[in-house]
Formats: sequence, C-alpha cells, structure tokens
Amino acid sequence: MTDGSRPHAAGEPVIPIAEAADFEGAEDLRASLGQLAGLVSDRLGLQDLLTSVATFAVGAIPGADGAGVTLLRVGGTGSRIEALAASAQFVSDIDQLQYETLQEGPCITAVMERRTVRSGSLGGEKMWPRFGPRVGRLGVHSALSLPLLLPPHQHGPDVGAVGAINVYARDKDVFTEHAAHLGELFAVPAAVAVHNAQVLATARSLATQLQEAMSSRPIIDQAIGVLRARAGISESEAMARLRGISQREHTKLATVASRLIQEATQRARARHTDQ
Amino acid sequence: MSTSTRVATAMTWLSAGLEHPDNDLVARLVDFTAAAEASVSSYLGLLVWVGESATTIEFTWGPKLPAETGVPIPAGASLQIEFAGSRESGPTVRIVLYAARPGAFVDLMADLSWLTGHLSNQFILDAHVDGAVTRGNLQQVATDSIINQAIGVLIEGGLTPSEAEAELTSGIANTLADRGARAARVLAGLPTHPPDEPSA
Repeated sequence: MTDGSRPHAAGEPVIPIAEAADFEGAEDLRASLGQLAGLVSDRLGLQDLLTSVATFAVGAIPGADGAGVTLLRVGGTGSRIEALAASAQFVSDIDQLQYETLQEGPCITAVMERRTVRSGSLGGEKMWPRFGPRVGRLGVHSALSLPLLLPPHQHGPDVGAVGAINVYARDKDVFTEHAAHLGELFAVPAAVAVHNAQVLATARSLATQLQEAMSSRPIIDQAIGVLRARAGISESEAMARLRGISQREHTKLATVASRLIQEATQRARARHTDQ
Repeated sequence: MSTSTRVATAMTWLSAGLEHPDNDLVARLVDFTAAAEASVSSYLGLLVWVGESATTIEFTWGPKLPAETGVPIPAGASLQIEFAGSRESGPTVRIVLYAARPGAFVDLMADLSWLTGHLSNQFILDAHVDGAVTRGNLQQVATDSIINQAIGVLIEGGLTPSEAEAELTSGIANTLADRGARAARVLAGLPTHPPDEPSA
C-alpha cells in the first residue's frame, strides 16, 4: 500500500515504515512494521500470515499480552468471518466467546462502527454487558480493538472494514490513548497486507479448484458412461452413484472413477482374449 | 443467455466433479471478485484461462464488463496472475484482472509479489489492456464430456479404450464437432435416459 504519491520499485514491499520522530513506543512499532514487511515466503498461507500479524501486533502495542486478527469476507450479502488467528490460546478462547457464543464484543463494535474501541476494565464494561464480565472472570481486563480499514482514496469509500485486530492484557487500564494511536499506525499497513493476502488466497482457491475440476473431469465422465451403459441411468444419477461410492469407501471420486474404468477395460480385454 | 449465465452454468456443472461436495467454482469466482473489487476501486472484471490439458477454456466474468461477447473491455490496466500447472496439480490457470484506471494494479502487484516472494513471472502488469468479453470455448467442456461419456459406454460394451476412441473418429473429419456428434448418437442409443449434457 502507498499513499498514492510514493513510487516504489518492483518487489519492494509497499507497506510504509513509520517515519515519525521518536516517540514512546516508536522503536517497537518500527520493529513490528519491519517484521510485517518481511513476511516473505513462497508458501505463506493466509492463516500463517494472520498469525504473524497478530504476533507482531503484540510487539507494536505497549502492554499487550496477546492479540488476535479477524478477517472478514468482503462483499456479498453480509459480512462473515473468513479467518481468525491469535498469538496465544487465551486470545482464541476470548474470540470464540465473542464471535460464536455471545456475538458481542470489542471487535464486533470496532468493525460495525469503524472505530478504535478501548476498555480498561472489562469486568464492569457497559458496552458489552455479557462479554465483559465473562472475559473479566478469565483474568483479562483490558482490551483494544482496531478495525482494519482499506484506504478510501485507493479502494473506494464503501468497502468497510476488512477485519480487526484485537489486543488484550491481563491488567486493568493497560491501553492508553498513546497505545491506541500506535495500534492505529500499525493497523493501516496491516489492513492492506491482510486484505491483499486474502486476494491471493481467493485467487489460489479458484485456481486450485479449476485445476482439479479440469483434470479429473475426463475420467469421471468416462466412468459416468460406464454406469449409464451398465444400469441405464442418467448422467446425474451416475454422478450421484459415483459420489455415493466415494463417500462410503472414503475414496476420492477420481480414484473411484479410475477403478471403474480399469475394471470395465479388463473385462473388455478378457472378452477379446476369449474370442 | 448472457455471458455470465453461461459461465455460471458451466462452472456449476464442473463443480459437480470436485472432491469436496461444498466446493463450488461459482462461489470461488464471487469470493475472488469481492476481494478484488475491495482492493481496486476501478475494478471491472476478470478473464480466466485454463490450459495445457486436453481441453482449454477461457471466459470473462464481472458485473461491470460489457454484457455481450466480443465487446472490448474498457480497461486502462490489467494484472495477470498465473498458477503454473503440473502433473500433480493439473493444468495451468491464468487469471487476468481488468480495471478502468491506468496504474490501478501497481500496488496490488507489488504486494502480491512481496507476499509470495516472487519478483517476476507469476504476475504480469498491463499486458492485457486490449481484452474483449468472451465466453471462450466453454462449449468444448460440454462436448468433451459427451465424448468421454461415450468412450465409457463403448468400454462397457466391450471395446478397449483405444478401440472406443477409434470408434468415435473413424471415417469422419475428426473435428471436435464431428466426434461430439458421433458421441451424442452413442449416448442417444442408451436405454431409458437421454444424455443430459450441460449447456454452456
């Protein structure tokens, strides 16, 4: 991501490193942004990237004991969670509580209202009357949630949040305004990084399924022909039978199809030998 | 039938052969389109090319593309993403993204290159700005299906695979259309059910 004005060389990561003058936490923020820029791997999957972003967020935000990243599916008829990652198990437990059990919590508020959300005493937090006390009883008392927002001048004003970073601490009143500001500086490039990773992941998913469909279909069609001739059934009925065999035997569809063809071929060859 | 409807029909049919029953090529296209649209504000649509196998297909997809086949896409920028094929994975897949604004994909390409550690050939910028709407040869998918089903019928009837293929090509020009027509007659000769080939 650039701000639209800074050109960059091919292959140079476009995540800007904070160039602000020294302020409290600047070194940790620069180190975390540098790590974000260094996430280079031939096979770094989306889940691994999100986990790394969560880990780097802990380093960037003073006082954090753990962090999680939520990625939303963008577009469609409503948002839904595409992926979740956490730097520690207790964060996963809290996020499960938030998204699955209660559907209430700081990340949901941050995404819906597209703003940073902060609490220093979750046990008595009125914003989340069910979530707060339950998390407080788990021994976590401070929360900071940062929406992941794509820059509107590049991505259009109506994209909305593509996800959120949730940061937690066990002590009370850990996340100051300064910590929130550092988190917001981290969240800007993180939003573009995770979203573009999602672009790559969805492209890869489409390509993988196309490759599978195109390479297995010929053998599946031949097996459909075998079943149609044998049983006098339609194409869709033959496909359903193949899938039924595949599920019963816990065998891949293409493997079942290949076996049917081989068996039919062996019978054909045996008839030729007999003649 | 519009291009997008033809594509959706062909993709739904192809999805029936995927291992996991929840896998759905139309849903993958929708997911990818949503992600690309959020990434680039002037995004128009995409072209998919799948090749290096017995069948090559190519089609365009996107609600902001012109509706009719053959109409030029008003693209100021393009980005090709290639997923190389192999014996294990299947054929090569190329996805070309189109956007109206020149330079629209510069940042996305840089980020994708950085994410994958590739500096060059998986991503190609602005080499396809003169594209046109196409449903390509999706009909070939349907014809190949009929031919392969007919081969299966002939194998079950006692022919070896090579004999079955020869049966479909002997005495004709051996074009795809000719083989398809002969295959359709083989399937039409089956008892009970007519061939329900996909319409693409």
